Amino acid sequence: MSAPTQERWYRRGGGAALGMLAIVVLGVGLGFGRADVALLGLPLAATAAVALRRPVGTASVAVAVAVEDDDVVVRVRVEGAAGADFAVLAAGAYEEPTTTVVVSSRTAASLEARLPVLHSGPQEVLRVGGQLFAAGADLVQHLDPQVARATIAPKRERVTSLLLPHRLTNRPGGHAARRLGDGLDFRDLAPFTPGDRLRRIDWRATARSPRPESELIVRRMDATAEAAAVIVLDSRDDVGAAVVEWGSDRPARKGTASLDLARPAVAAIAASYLEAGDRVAFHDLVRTGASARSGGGRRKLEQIRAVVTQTVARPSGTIKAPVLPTAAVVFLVSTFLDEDVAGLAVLWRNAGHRVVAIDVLPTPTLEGADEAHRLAHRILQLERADRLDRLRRVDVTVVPWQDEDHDALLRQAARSRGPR
Amino acid sequence: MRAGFPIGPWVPGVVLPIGVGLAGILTSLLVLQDALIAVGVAFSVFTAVRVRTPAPWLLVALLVVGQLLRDPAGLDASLAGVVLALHLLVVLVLLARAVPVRSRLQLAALGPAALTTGLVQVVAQVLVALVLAAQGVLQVLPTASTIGGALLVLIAGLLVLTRRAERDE
Repeated sequence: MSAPTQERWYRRGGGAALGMLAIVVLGVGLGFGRADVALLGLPLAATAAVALRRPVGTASVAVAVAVEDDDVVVRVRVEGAAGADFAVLAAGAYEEPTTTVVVSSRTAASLEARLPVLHSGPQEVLRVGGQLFAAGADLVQHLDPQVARATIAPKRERVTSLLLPHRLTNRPGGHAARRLGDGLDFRDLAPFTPGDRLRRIDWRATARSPRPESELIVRRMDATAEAAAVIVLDSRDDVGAAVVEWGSDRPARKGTASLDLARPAVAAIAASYLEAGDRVAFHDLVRTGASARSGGGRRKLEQIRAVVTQTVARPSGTIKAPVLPTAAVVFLVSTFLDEDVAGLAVLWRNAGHRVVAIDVLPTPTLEGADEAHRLAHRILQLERADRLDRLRRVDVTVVPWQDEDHDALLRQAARSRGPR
Repeated sequence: MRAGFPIGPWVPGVVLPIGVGLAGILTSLLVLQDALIAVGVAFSVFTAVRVRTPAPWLLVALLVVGQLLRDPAGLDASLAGVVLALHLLVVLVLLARAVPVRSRLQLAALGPAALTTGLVQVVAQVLVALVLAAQGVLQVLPTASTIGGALLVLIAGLLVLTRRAERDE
């Protein structure tokens, strides 16, 4: 670590100009024998003398971010500001225009800004830079801008209904399968056959049976099996509710964005399946995106949450369809603004997977949109509606996640169970 | 969405150039005579608008020339006011050149400047009183002392307020 130097301080020139002016005034006053004029030069000379003070050490800005309740708390510290007169700090939240505050060096040593959480995921919260002034505001030191970044995890939610794949896996799990096994669900009574466990013999049923005495009756149970769920996130879009902001990237103005809906959706679906003892995999549809291999348990949930929290929009990313396990329930989380994703959903459905399209396009607002914007948006929405209708026709369950009742829609879809 | 730092009592940064203009106008009215008053007032307004140019130093020079043009025999208690106003003008100019107009200026940030100004004025006002006494303007001495004392109390009060505001944060 380098020792503080004085090289970063610059003189602004005001003190020198004032010093020269003071000397002239004092000289004129004394030269003309005018004590009153010389008296005018005295405060000027004193002020200029203050400006000649030596600079204090090198200062820097440090930022720290913490998430408290529904707020992001950014603590800004100007270190090494002791001895300075004041600091001019320019801070811009969420890439918005900066606000400038002028504070004493003592206040600058500990400032705190409390900002609302606007979006989930990794983001720039605050950018702060400025200048430090000393020696009667004649010395200035520029403070290197610092960026406060935060990664906001999605809220912990659950879905109450689990859509099961058309066929469960062969591994024991939490769901009743249609094959015989050692589950808790009663299936039927049947004559004892070699291989049946003795504890399965139903003595009462055997006694009541009109069959020959030598034939024992056993209680047969359904097997239990786990489901394989795959969550696929289309991270190419991160469009907000404000349609006029779709072309720009101004976090403070775009409103709730599609990834803000997608992240909790992924986390909620994963949490619900993993709690039911199923296996869940997560894939980013974009080629360079991160993924989490199929697995179960609490650690898998935390892994999926971490991966989806770090997922950012990749508008120029190319799609890479993941390899799916046999007979999985596939949750395709997307805005469905283009044909590619819908095509994948149809492909997977035709391959025998149960496909659920989680629509995460926020409810659009057209505030500030001109006629051309409105027309373009209308055409886009009509195309999208056609696309989603087509998915419904091929038995893809479409769940609009922005709808408050998305859980009820999932419950409704869960009732129509296919063959297992 | 604006980043808001809670900084306690504050004033808009534009107060400083306005203060420069007012101090310039006040000093012009005290020092300049006849047509020069209009020039001084107009230049003060220009200085307030263009405070980052050399205009403030030209205004100070103009005011000093105005004082030079005054009859030395006509010295009165206003000298104390002139010394204070010119000093305030210079201090405000230095601050206004550093502080952005569109900013929130914490009152506590003015503490060091107010302290220095107060200390310098204590010495300056004593010297003014001595000069006035030496000139035989004895009757003005109590007036100057009263004005100087009042200003000192004002500055001290400002200092106490800013320090307290800073401590409360």
